[in-house]
Amino acid sequence: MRTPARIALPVILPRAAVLWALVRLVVASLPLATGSPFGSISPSPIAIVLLCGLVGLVDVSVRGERILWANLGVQRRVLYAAYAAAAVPAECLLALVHR
Amino acid sequence: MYTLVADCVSKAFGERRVLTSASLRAKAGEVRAIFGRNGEGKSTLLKIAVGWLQPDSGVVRMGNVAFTRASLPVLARHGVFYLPDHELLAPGLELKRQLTLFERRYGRRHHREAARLARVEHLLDRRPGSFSGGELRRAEVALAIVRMPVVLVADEPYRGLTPADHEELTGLFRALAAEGCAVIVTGHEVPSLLAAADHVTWCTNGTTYELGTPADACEHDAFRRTYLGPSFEGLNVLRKPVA
Repeated sequence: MRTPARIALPVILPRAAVLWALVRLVVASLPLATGSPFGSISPSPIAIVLLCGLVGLVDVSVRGERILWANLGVQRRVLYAAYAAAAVPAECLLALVHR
Repeated sequence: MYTLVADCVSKAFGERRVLTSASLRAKAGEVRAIFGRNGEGKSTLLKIAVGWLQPDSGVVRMGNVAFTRASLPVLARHGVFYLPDHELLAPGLELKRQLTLFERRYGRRHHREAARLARVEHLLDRRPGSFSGGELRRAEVALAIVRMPVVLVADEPYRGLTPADHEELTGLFRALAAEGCAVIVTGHEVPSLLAAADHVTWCTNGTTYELGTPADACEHDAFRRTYLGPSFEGLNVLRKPVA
């Protein structure tokens, strides 16, 4: 018998990685709307991680998986944490690249 | 002793009061059918009982534990399985993967055995988006079979299915009850539900009435007049053998 987190992570992590890349892309594209260059704003990595968690919950909803996860005993906060957790190493990597 | 109880629950959506004092009781080894006209609050009562919706008042009890704010993930860990009136399965994940998730999480039954019992073995490598209505329902029940829940709460499981699929689904519910599961089902498919049920509950005017066995329910004047209608000819359905 596995814990809710161990059940959710293998499914969520690959999706969360893609979602993190999309969130980064969208955030980098936002300045284009005001005529500023691409990537001209640099949001805090913590904000990106938190945003990824929120977008992840929307992703679960859009995929129609809310009741499936609930029946597995996986709470929303675990799903949020799984999506946010995937963004942490990605943000660390990005920070290293930018150095 | 009831396995799951939602006691004296009330719920309003804005100005509209759907439930005033309704109760749901699930008993191990029994299939209980809840009847009621559309909009009388059957689905709302089920959602409250499984923790998917919070009541304005009332309490949900699972065994000896009372939950003032029950949530489905918590109740699921105690053995509740909720089969909603819309699709339960994730359209984007292969059926085998979804069954395996339940197998790994709860470790009650092998996914291949559940797929065989629900006759969905041929669908294991497919995604639910391509299933027919009957296949989808059988696949959803396969999840419940892997889970082997203490309580299965199924909201309108017969909707949109052929009579042959009704019989199969009834067989699966009876088989789960025979293993000690408490099964609650709702719907309007009177013959199928009466054939499946050991006990009938009537949900009307924001409250619930325990009518007893299907035979007792069919003799209930107000239930016959208001819900079954004058053309209902009585209980002439036969229970199917356990699958």
